[in-house]
Amino acid sequence: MRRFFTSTAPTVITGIAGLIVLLSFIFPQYLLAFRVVLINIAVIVAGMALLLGFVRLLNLHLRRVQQRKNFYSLIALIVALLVFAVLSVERLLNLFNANQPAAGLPLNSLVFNSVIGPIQSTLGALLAVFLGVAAVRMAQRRRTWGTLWFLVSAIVVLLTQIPVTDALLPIRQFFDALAMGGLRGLLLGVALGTLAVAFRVLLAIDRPQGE
Amino acid sequence: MNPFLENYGGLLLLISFGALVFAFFVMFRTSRRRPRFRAIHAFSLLRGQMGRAIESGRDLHVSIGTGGVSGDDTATTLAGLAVAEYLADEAAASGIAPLVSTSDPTSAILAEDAVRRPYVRQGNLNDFPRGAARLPALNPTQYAAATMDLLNHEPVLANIMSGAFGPEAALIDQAASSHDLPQLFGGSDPRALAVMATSADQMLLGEEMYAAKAYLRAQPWHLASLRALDVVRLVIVVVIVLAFFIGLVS
Repeated sequence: MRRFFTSTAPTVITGIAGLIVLLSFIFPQYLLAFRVVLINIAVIVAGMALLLGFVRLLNLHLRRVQQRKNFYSLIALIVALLVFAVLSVERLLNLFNANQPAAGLPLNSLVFNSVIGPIQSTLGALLAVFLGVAAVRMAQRRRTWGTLWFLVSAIVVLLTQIPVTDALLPIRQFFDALAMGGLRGLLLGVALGTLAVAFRVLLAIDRPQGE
Repeated sequence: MNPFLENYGGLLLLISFGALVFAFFVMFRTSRRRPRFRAIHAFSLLRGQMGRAIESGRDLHVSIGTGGVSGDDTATTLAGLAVAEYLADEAAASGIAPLVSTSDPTSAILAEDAVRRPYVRQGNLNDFPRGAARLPALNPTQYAAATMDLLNHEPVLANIMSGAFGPEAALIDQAASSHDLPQLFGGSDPRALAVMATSADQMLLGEEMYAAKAYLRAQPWHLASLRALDVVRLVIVVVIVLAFFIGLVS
């Protein structure tokens, strides 16, 4: 019985739901209503997963604090709880003032614009530095023709971003053409791989859920 | 005509053809020998990796990326999970699990399940280390920062990244490289692949990722799907080349 609930039922539900959604694109006149219901269920499940995810996140950082592993986990824990409390209050205020949503505090955008946005921008800016460091490391460690090709094309792409001279443009176009071919090949492979995985899940060959 | 068929008729034809080829390889498998595919060194590197981690007393970090299981990245995330499950399978007998991390709550649930499954199969669920699947942050960039912290402060033997990643993978790469950790990267996003090409020891490029189960487990169904995929790819290449020459001539 346990196996039925942990293995058979999830697999059958996944297969049927997947088939209905797939077929609903071909026969929308018959199956569109089912698709809408299934997508609504998926949204609710995803919402619950997010809530569970938040609990997991708190649990992870709490354990790390208890094990005295990392001071940053304490900060993460406090900030997560604080933001959760503040945004919950804001949502509740908006809920009670449904006719005047503006009466709620603009905390959501405040948290995003003042904290999350700047932190992400900082990390984004660091990316450029890390990429430079990675390129240097690559040149030191792997002295191959492939490395040389990679670095030359990266330098050409960077230089042609500067609107000073058009001298390197033909070389850039040459690299772009090669990169585009490779990119299309890569995306084609990804699309085929995605199809194969979808196929295996629909046929219950792959069972990512259950035992 | 049905608008879906009008727009996606070719795709449907391709899927039907792929399904037929797959059915052919499943039903008419005349030889008992395993079909030969080209060697992918990244998968060879994975074998025994967990054993080395257990011997050294350090963790094996497996990141399945920032994708969820209800969007564009579903297949990529599932492919990443296959790698995590394989490593968990290698480790289940010893009661040590790889440290799997993600930034998506739905993937975290599946990851926990994937790591737990080998313990269920081997009947030693009591040894399952709870919390093996971690969710250190809920956003890709923050996740990358949290993973940097993990690699900087916890004893990790190797860093394996297989799943949906964006350019933020460079942040994780920086932390792993500064500790000289061996790295294996599998991804489908060209930006992440370009970034990781600078330092990853082994890479799974695009389609190679989705072949993880066939290479690591070699089950007949997975091998048949891989062979079907090769045939479909060959047909597409032939069609593209033919279309090119027909266009050239006409």
